[in-house]
Amino acid sequence: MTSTTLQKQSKAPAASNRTGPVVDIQNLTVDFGRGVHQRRVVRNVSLSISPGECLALVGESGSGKSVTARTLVGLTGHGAQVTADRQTFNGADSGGWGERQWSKVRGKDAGFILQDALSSLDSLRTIGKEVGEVLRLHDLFPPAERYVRVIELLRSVGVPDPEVRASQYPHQLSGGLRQRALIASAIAAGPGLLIADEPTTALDATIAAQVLRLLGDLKDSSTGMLVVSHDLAVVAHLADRVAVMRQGEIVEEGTMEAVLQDPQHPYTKALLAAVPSASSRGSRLTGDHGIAVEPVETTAPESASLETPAERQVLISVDEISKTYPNGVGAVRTAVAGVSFELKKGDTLGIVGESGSGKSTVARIVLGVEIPDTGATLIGGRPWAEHRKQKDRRARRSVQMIYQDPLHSFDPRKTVRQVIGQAVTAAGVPRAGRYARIVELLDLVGLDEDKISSRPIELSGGQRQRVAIARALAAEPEVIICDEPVSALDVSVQARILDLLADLQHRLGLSYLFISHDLGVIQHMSKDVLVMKDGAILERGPVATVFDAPQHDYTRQLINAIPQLPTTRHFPATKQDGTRS
Amino acid sequence: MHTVRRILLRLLVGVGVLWGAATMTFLAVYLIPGDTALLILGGPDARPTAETIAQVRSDYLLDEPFIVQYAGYLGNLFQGDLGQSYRLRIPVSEAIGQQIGATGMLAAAATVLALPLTFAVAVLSAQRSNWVRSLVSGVEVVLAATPTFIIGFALLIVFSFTLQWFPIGGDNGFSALVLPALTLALAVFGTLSQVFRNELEDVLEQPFILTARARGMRDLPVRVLHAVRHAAIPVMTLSGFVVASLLGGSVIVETLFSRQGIGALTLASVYNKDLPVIIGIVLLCAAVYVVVNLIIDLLYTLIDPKVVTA
Repeated sequence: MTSTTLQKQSKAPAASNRTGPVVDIQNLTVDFGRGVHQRRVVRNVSLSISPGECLALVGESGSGKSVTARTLVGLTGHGAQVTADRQTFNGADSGGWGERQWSKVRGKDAGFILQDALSSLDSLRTIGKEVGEVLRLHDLFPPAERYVRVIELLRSVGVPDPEVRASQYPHQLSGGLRQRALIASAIAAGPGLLIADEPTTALDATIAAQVLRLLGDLKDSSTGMLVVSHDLAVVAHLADRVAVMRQGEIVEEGTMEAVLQDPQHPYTKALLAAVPSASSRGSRLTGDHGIAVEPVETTAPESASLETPAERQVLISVDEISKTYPNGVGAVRTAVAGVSFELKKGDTLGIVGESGSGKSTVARIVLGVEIPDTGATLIGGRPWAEHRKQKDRRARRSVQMIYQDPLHSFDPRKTVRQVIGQAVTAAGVPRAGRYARIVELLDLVGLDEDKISSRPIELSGGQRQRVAIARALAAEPEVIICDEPVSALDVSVQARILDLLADLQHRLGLSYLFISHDLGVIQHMSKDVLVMKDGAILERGPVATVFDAPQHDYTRQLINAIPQLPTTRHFPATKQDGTRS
Repeated sequence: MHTVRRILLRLLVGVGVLWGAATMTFLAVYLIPGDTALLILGGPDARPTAETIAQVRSDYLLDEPFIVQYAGYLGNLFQGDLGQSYRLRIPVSEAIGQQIGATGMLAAAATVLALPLTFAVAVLSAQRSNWVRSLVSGVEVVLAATPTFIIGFALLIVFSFTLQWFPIGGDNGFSALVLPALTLALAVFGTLSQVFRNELEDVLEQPFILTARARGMRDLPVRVLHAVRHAAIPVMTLSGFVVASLLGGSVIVETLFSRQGIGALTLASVYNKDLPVIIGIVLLCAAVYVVVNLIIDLLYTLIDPKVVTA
């Protein structure tokens, strides 16, 4: 790391200066690579955090928010060139600090929490050793007392049975406990600055809410906090101030209240508008899509007004299916227990549940790649078993699936043409018509023909998901199972994909089985919803009924766990400049 | 408890592997054309009488059906009787026993050189600037691609003929061991270090490395204390390659440096069609392989807690 202000005389910081800001940077610019490969990922960013203050850095992937956060503690990464007019840490000029000075500060004066504690904790070491490492590195307590301190720390962040947990490995803890342990290791030395980079992104909603509460409890008058997130709603109740980043720049900064109530920059407005929720249902999330549509009621199927629901064709009927897997030690784990539902033509049925609730297993059974132990799945009125026996390819084609992460559901060596071409061929399109069909499908999902020779890695997340949708559409399905189709996407890209799915449903009369852990997405997309937990359906009904008057405690918990923007107002979609998914 | 079951299972598999190796070599010998009795008596040049041949045929069960010969062979093996060397006129186990110490010493010395060298080079060169990596990686590729005897020759030319630091061969003490061990070690190092560095570079990109550095840990401790264990797991699967390199390389190195050992014994036995010894050596290699894999398997459980609980 190099800097314009190479002031080697500034040694490690004096005892923390509680009056001034903990960190203060002016006009920070970060470049990666050199020469023609040089990319500027952060430009002219200025921010400061005072003791007792929590600043949120919000932006989508590639906005430079994580790089900015890491630069605050000198962890920009190798090959980075960092310049700043001013960069101070606890009042000392940190602009020219090398590894030696930073290593004295990191952990002791600045704690760092990353997302996904499974990969952020060393999987080959015990929790206790990981948490205690900070104390050992900075020689904080006498070695004999460190264990006691580690146990205290784990208890203070809400880890039950800390003595047991301290001797366990990360993979033996649940996601929530792991995240708590990671937080314990970050606060072990009582740092004056706490940086949390997407601290709840990898967690289930109810767990994420608990972790957010814990972070809120950690706010005190002497600690400055920086929370990095892609989701404004997550940090809305935690942060005092917010800075919205886009393409390496801070486009808007202010108190949380001011930014939420009265966003000034079009990008902030678009971000807020793109969040799907109950109130956004039936309207578009983005304003710049190429397809002209009516402003409201795009998701309501036309057929609904023409026929009564009872007359509409039942495409999928799932009857009391159950599935168990051996769990390795002789017993069985029940993945799905007695699930029944129907999906009618043109409908969207949402399935909501946290990880391990069995929703993906249900999807695989409906898709016909998993055979239930008991019960039956009827596709077009006939059970899967019959279709399978007669090698009925039409039934196989009539149900398609879109996955969360298309990067891993594509062969990385194949081009878009090959990926979709395979599906087009399987659908029985003669050779001569295949190219035209591929282009037609790409057009249907809003991709230009020039993407046809790209490989998955060359596409953005949103473009990849569009290709996945085009591949599913190639079979001319009646039902598409969407398994967390937007969970890996940025909120603005997510908005475009959700709009696209709504358009396609409208135009092609598709039915969706829509699986998500995100209640906002479910509320936005579906007509009816099933709430699943531990393989069983706890609650079902029209979306509005289930969410407005939940009958079950668990449903209430789920709803309470949704990070809410302090205002319930739905921001109208506005034109966005640039960023196409 | 799981560990004990794993070991027992592994041992069982190991016995299976040995049985397979024994059967394959028996079949190979059985199918080789030529009169085995003649071979035992020293080939056509020995001009044995018809009675001696008949005597040998009945002694060695050569007139019995295949299944009887096979059963007799396995029975002898089971009792640890590998038969007698045609050439040396001593039991095979004795012939191997005389040589195994020298080769074991050579292999151990090569391992002691290769592993720390691999460790140091990979740890220090991972994620360094491009020219460092290119240089180190270039040297490794050359070492991995060069036949062992050329590495040996090069070392001989530099250190024996030119600098005269080490003797050109023989079995006399430590100084004679240095160059042969180094030759074997360099061949192993080239491949192992490449793989180890690639693994390290993957591991160093993991979030937990960032977490460790964010706690204030310096670069080298992060590499040694956090990254190495993770990178070592996939590298350990290469132990088979290492064993094969050491055993195969010893044939060449022992010849080149005119040393005693299993390699030299193998070569002499092959030249003289000394089948019992060849069979013995094949079984020995299989046994070494089984034992090394068992040890590696146990090391896995020590390094990776998930292996036990999973």
